[in-house]
Amino acid sequence: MYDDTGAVLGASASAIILPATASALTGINYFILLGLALAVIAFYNISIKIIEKIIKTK
Amino acid sequence: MDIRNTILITSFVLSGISLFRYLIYLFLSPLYTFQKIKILKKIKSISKVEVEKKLKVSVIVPAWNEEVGIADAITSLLQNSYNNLEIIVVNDGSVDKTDTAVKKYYEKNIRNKNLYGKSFIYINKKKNAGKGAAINSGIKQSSGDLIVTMDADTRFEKDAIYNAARYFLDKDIDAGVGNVKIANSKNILGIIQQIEYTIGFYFKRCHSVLNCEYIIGGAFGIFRKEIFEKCGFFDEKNKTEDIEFSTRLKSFGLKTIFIEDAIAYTEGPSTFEGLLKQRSRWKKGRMDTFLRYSNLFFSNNKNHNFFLSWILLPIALIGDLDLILFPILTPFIFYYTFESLDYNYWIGWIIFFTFSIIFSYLFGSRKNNIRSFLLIPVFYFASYLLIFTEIYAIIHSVILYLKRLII
Repeated sequence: MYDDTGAVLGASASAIILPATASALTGINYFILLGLALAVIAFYNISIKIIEKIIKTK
Repeated sequence: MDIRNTILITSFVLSGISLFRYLIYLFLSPLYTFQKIKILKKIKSISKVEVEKKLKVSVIVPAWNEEVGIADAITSLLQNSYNNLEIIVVNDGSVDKTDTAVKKYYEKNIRNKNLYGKSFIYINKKKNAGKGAAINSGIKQSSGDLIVTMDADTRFEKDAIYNAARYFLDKDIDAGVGNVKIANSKNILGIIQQIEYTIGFYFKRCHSVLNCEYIIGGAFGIFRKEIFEKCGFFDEKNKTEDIEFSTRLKSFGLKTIFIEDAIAYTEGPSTFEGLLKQRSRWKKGRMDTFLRYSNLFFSNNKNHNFFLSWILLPIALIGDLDLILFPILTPFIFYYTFESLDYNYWIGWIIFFTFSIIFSYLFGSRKNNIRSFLLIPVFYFASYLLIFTEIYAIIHSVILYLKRLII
């Protein structure tokens, strides 16, 4: 895109190695780590939406 | 060190940097909500009529060989809910029937008609001088407090101009970029671009939060008029005049924001060849701009935004390096995956990638296309098409740059 979304996408493929290392270092199953990461992001976004609604109704 | 270890370490470093940036975007973009609430709270008590009284908007429509779409562009502006509006169409020496189309439209729909406060100016330039020169002609003729730039194939939503203009009641804001979406979704290329734009513009939330939006695209940009006196006009020799101008604004330390609720639709290239040309032009324009404003990189100047200077711009450059190395690294990573017969990490990354796009759809603008949303699960694979165009664009730009150096 105008910015560098392509670069984000391009770099993303090489990022396979990073979570692999994280899993190897912690000994935790990779998919559990991944699920946790996604849950954190979802929880974070939902929390912001809730705070937004509270601020708007005030 | 053998070649295998070199590639592994390079991949590790690049992926670390890229993930760092990706995580910054993922975590800071949602905070845009608070920036928006803060600005809108300041102007809460001001009605739409008062906004219109305080701010006249001039929309510049540069048109070069736009006989097909120019009438629709003017119609979309006449139907816009913002009434204190000056529409300026600049025919940039078109060789088709743009001139006839505009004049015909004027006679039929504008002349002696009640435009409800809107006005219309037509500038007919005999010689093609480029988009930057066309926009500058429009700005010089304009009488608005705000200047909106748009492409002739862009269509604004009915409230888009009001939604953008009201932010400028906050005196601190100097320029903004609207939320541009791809209109054509008839073929796979259109849908891929729709998803790409949704992610790209969602990440502009992060730029806005950090006051480091340095690309205000020509499809929908909005500027306070006095900044042209301070920073100069659009560069008439630059083919990506919008990238150059908005980066220049950052070099002057001006405040730029993303305006998510100001929505416009534009036509993306419908052929692969067209996409390659567009991306090459953008990449080259960005490279030229980076060279021109190299003082923005790692700058301690108080006017320059720290995050832009020290993190965003350097990482954007590394992203380009990443693209150049991509054809070498990716086959190796696939080989590594298949050789070890351990596909978990690869599958995991696709899941992560897919979900992060789903989040940008769910938690970003509500006006996203449902058809493209349904295609997100396969976007990881389709994104390789875009990556290919980006790689082509960067190589093409580097070759052009080297040629220029030699000659």
